[in-house]
Amino acid sequence: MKAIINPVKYNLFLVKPYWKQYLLLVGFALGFPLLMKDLGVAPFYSAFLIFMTVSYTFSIEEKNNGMRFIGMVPFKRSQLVIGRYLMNLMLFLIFWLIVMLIEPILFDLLNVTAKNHENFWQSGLLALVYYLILASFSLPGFYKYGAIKGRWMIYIPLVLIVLLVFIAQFFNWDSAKLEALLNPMVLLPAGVLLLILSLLVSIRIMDQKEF
Amino acid sequence: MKITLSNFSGIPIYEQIKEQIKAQILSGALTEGEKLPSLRELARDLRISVLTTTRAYTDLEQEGYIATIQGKGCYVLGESSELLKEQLLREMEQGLISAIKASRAAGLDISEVHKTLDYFNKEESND
Amino acid sequence: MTDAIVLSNVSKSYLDFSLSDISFSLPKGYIMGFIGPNGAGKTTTIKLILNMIKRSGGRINVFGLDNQKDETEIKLHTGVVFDSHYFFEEWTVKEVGQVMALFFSNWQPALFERQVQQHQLPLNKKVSQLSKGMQLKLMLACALSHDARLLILDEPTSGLDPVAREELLELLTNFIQDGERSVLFSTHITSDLERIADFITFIHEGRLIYTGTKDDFVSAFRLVKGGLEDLSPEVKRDLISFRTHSSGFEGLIHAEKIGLYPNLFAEDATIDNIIVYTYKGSKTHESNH
Repeated sequence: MKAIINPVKYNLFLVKPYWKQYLLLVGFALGFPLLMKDLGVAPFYSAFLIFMTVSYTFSIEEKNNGMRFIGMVPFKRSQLVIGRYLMNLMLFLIFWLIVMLIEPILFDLLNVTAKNHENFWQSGLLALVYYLILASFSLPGFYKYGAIKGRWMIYIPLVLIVLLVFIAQFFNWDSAKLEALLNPMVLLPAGVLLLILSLLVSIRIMDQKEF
Repeated sequence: MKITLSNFSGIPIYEQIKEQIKAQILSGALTEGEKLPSLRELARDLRISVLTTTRAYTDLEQEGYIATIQGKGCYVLGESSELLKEQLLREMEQGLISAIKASRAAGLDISEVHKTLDYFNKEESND
Repeated sequence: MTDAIVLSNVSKSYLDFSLSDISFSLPKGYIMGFIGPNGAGKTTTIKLILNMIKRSGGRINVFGLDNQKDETEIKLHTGVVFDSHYFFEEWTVKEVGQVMALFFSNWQPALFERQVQQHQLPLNKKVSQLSKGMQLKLMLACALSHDARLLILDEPTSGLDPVAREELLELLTNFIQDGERSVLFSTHITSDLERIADFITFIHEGRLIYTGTKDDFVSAFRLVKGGLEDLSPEVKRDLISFRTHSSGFEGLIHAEKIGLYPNLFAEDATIDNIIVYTYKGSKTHESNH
């Protein structure tokens, strides 16, 4: 158990000095939908914001000879990779829960009439899937190409989503068909599966890496 | 025990250690049964290689000046040691042989050698 | 099991550099100096031992265990010090201790605290605020707080003043007192090794030049000096390499050949002399081809 939890803690130690940035992101995630008066956008917005912090641990390690540190500690590389995946997932879930629980209350308190109020939790689940897809593609990219060059990996899922929209329009899919496709009960397990696949790819990349 | 090493004497470090310990045993500064610092302690204190102290101690042991008791340490054997006596005897014989050789080369009679030996013996004991 | 590290025919190839057929062993309880000019492959070898890079061939054993198969077990008992620190600069000294404790199940917080105090490291200062010497001491404190049986140091003394270097030597000689713990010490500042190293491994351009006791290494060579008129073709042939100046020459020769030239002044060669003239020798050799 320590083999999994301690690498998570190590990653938290890496981002610990940036706790103010995380608070700021929470503020943004809560504030922006208020300004737009759109509750439905909140989960997606928060998912994207926290996704942007996925590269932090990588860039911190790169700037600080972190690979030497990794090379010295008595842990398997796979354990370190699992730790990083879990830490990012954990931060996302905390972030996501905060937004999901607090945002509706804020809308009520400030008396903002919101669009897309009824589908809020469904949007939330879709945002979760959205995050899983982004993370699944970008994490192996960061492992393979580093914090800066690895970023282009996120274009793959973005292009796929755009392609999907294009196809939907081209074939003139009706909203019922789209809704069936965007069913979180199907997408969520698929997203989790994707993340596990991504994890396996990252472990393989890390195992072959020389530093 | 007192050891002072020179890096510039041209004499190997292990040789310097060996000679200085030997001299202290022969002069009585180190007495029989006295415990010497361990190989590693001596190496640490002098900031030298453990192999260097090992070599010095091994030589001293072979020549009968010290003995290592496994797990306990190194001890001075002292002048009463049989090995040491034998060693000293051999040294004396070597010295006498070369004295005789030199005297023959110089064409001196053996009685001259005896006389000189007596003379030096007296001088030494006066010191 | 008496050897802390054994390398057998280890090799590693890159496009522009290769390490070939490196073999040496460090018996436990001793200090080995790992020397060679910059770019000789010292850091590459150390990274191979730590499995940070994968060997292309050969075998590496640490504590009698395979360095890839038993990597974590080996690292649990190995302390590593690099030429510059490997901590996140925003961590405080205290946090460094906390992070180390996450990874080393044999971490001893009390020991770490004692070392931190002993080296006067400020607990609440960030790593980035420490001097280079302090950062080295922090790495050492970490290396020595988890019951390491092997210390691997890669160029630790570059950038240290003589006082700090002397302290390091004291620490290393203390470290090997029990005869169970060993040190592999890579450096190009060879005066550090001149005294305390028991063994020397000398590599150059990725090849092993010498491995064995330091005493044998140093006594295998002599430094010879003489006037320019003494530099006959035979002398030139037998010298590993030499340099001339207005009033004479200085060169390195194998000790067994010095008997051939009784008229030349000869003295003990330092490790530095040996590295410099061997390096120079290999260069002239190349240019002759």
